[in-house]
Amino acid sequence: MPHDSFLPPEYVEQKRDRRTSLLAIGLFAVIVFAIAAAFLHRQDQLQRAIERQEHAIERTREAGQQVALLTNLQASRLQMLDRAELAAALVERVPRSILMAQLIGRMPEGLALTEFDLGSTRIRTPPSEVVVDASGRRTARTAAATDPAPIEVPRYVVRLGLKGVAPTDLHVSEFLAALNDDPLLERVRLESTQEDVVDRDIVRRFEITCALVPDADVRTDGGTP
Amino acid sequence: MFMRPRRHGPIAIDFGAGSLKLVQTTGGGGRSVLAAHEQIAPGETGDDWDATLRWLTDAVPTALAESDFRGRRVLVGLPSQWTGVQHLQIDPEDLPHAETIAATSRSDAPDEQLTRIIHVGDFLRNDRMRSELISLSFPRHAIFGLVELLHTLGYDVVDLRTQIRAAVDAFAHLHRRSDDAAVATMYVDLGTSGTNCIVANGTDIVCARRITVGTRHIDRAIARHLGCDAESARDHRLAHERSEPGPGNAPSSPSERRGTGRPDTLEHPMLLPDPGADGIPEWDELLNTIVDELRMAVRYDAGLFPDRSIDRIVFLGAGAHSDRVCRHIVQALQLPGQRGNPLARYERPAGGSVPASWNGPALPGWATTIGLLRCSQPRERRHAA
Repeated sequence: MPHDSFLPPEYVEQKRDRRTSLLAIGLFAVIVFAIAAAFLHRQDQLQRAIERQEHAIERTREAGQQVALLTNLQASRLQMLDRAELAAALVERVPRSILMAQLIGRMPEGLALTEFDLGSTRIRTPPSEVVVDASGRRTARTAAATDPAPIEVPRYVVRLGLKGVAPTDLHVSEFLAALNDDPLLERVRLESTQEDVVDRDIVRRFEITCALVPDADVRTDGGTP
Repeated sequence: MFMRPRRHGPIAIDFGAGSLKLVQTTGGGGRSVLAAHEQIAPGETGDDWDATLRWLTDAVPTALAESDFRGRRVLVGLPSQWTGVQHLQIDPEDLPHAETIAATSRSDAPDEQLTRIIHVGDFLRNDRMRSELISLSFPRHAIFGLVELLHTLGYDVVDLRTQIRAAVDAFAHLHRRSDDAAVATMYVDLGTSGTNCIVANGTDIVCARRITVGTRHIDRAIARHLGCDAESARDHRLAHERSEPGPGNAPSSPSERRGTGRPDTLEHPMLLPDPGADGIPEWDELLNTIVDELRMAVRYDAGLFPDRSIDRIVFLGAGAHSDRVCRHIVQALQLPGQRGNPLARYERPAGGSVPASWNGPALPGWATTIGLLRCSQPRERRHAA
């Protein structure tokens, strides 16, 4: 503006102020718009994150339900297995007739059994693990204290006591070796042998003990445990 | 970079005492007139500012609405009727306080004045270096009245300038070269309410004077002599204004000495002797008053610049249509004179509405309006003794 202009300084300042105010209002509007846009964008992002989180939670819940279903199935399977094992325990896996047939079949010529003793002893589960708590008191902790106690499958040790007479010690030895070869039997032991006279014949009186192999089962493979 | 350049320039509004003139230019370099409008002021407003402002309040919106003006930016030319012009000489050290000193010198004015300073230069006077200043003043309330009027109409006032500055700027295109600063021109703006006398070295104003005799006073003298009203006197004056023949063997003007020929914006130099004032003695007295004031201006200029003389007189304003007045002044001052025609450089709108006065051969009355459109640069050149 030339220095001889009569434009009042007040008017020029007012124009400048008005222009500045308009610029400031414009900038303010731009900033407010930018903030609002950023806020809306942020809200949109947050909403999407919440939706993703809810989706993930839903999937986790569905997976949890499937895992729970699988766990239940697993538990049912184990229960079924236990029941099957329990049912199997009730069935005689080595019928006594077969056992007797095995013994008779392995007896040498001239050897006779005078006494046959068959006894079963139930195997008890060992007591629960004893732990020492923080106060030093000994407490017994079971595997699942809160769960109902599982049904224990009964297990038995079957012991056999054989008494008889044989012509010679050789016959007793053969019979002992034959029993040792029998896969159904274990811990075969000659308890005693002594000479005796039966009907004026000299014979050897013997006593053998043995035990039935616990897992022996002749129902499937014909005698092989 | 993001701003689209404006296709139209601002609207120049010249608040003259005789008429309200508006013009707007467009095109490359603003050399094509987009719209123009002139509205004659009623005679009854006279020297009363309040009455003038009331008339302007009605006339300005009408003028802006009637023509095809575009944009909201306006340049305002202040009426010379209320413009105070005064020469001051101060100590160069007081130059920073020149406006305060000028305002103090105008403290006798009835209204508070807004003053602006033109620094002519530093001159040696009585063995003392003095800064020569031209103080331009205008009533503060009048300026705010005009600004408020335009502001109320929704227009943005780009600049407010005196007709003195605008008259010189209308012919700034004649002084674009550096050696044009040495060409001294006396602009005689024969207005309705008074006459402005401006002496400029190139485009630098070095002397300004306000003469309170204008065409209105001549019309009143004619009316008194013929016993008619002012309108009839004005018609009588206008009917006897132009009788000038062709250029003939005109003496060379400064522009012709440059070998570039006569510029379009200046008419042929005036040659014929003054035929007299149609036997109206009061007219002669008024012309002599103007001539006396112009002589004083010439002498004052000679005192400032003794090494050069005024090269030419350029007649402007509504009164410049009168050959008699112009020739009288040329004959009295013994200086070559030419009538200014600032619109000669501009293309006029084809088929557009232009004021009726544009049908004439020259339009010296539009000099200040066109001068407002010129974008003046700050004057840095100063003159020294």
